Amino acid sequence: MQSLTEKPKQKSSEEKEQVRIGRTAFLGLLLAFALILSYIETLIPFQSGIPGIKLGLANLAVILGLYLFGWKEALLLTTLKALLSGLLFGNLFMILYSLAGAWLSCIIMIFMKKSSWFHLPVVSGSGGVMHNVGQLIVAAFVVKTYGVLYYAPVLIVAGLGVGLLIGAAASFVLPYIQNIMWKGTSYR
Amino acid sequence: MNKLKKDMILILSFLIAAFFIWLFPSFFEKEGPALVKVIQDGQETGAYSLLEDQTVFIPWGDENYNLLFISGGEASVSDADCPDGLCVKARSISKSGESIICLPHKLVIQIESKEEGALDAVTY
Repeated sequence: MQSLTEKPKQKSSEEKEQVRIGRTAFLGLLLAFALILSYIETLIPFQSGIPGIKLGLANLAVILGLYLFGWKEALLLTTLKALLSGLLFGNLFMILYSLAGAWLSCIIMIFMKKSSWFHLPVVSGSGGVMHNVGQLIVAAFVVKTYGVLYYAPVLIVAGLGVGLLIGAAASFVLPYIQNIMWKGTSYR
Repeated sequence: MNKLKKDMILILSFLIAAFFIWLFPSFFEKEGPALVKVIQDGQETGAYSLLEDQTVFIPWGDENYNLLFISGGEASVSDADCPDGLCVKARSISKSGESIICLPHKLVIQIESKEEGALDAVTY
């Protein structure tokens, strides 16, 4: 899979600049996409009993960032997504919980992609599971009661299911995005 | 081992893990009338019968509160002044092990069975 990090050597500084600007713009688009998905999530009633647990649609943007660019960009997207969606649709308190789940899920996905043992949907599915597991662990620590484990099975299965679907969607659109992303540059 | 095989193994292991965690609480389930336990910051601060209809005021600190509402064998939080209000939105609980959590007030409202007999299990 071609990514921006594998750009050919010996290019003029002008072309390098073009790629740099293109990447910044595209990351901005992905972040906006993530925030829209976060907003849609707040419209879907999905009460799980654990604060901060969501369907995980916004993971789609992180997955695209990871596969189009690389791990640094994915981590950046995850962090900004959690911070901004927390400020926009939640409160400061919720940001901490989102970050715990989001970072755990992102790190797991980065290593799973790096190992190249798994297909994209499975990487995404594990990310979904880990997001929920991370938030469950934080919730258990804050309330000092492991009774929250009661919800773990539902959350694992839900995270896996939604993650697999999002991963399938991502693997369908990835080639098309890669195609348009390099239009007009010499890196196609 | 090809990719697809690894995919399947991982998905299966997630499902098996979920299944075992799902089995786990049922080992501890006891029969008997259920209690609504109120746990704040890890300390149990109250227990109320699920069978009596009542409204319980749960203070947190000097100013904050949650209002526990028990009616018709179900417990829910009818009002609270926590910033996210997720405990009010959470659906009502009635089965052993279910809980409502309010993270800002470090509050857990949990259903537990009342009887904790001397014997863990009896076989005939």
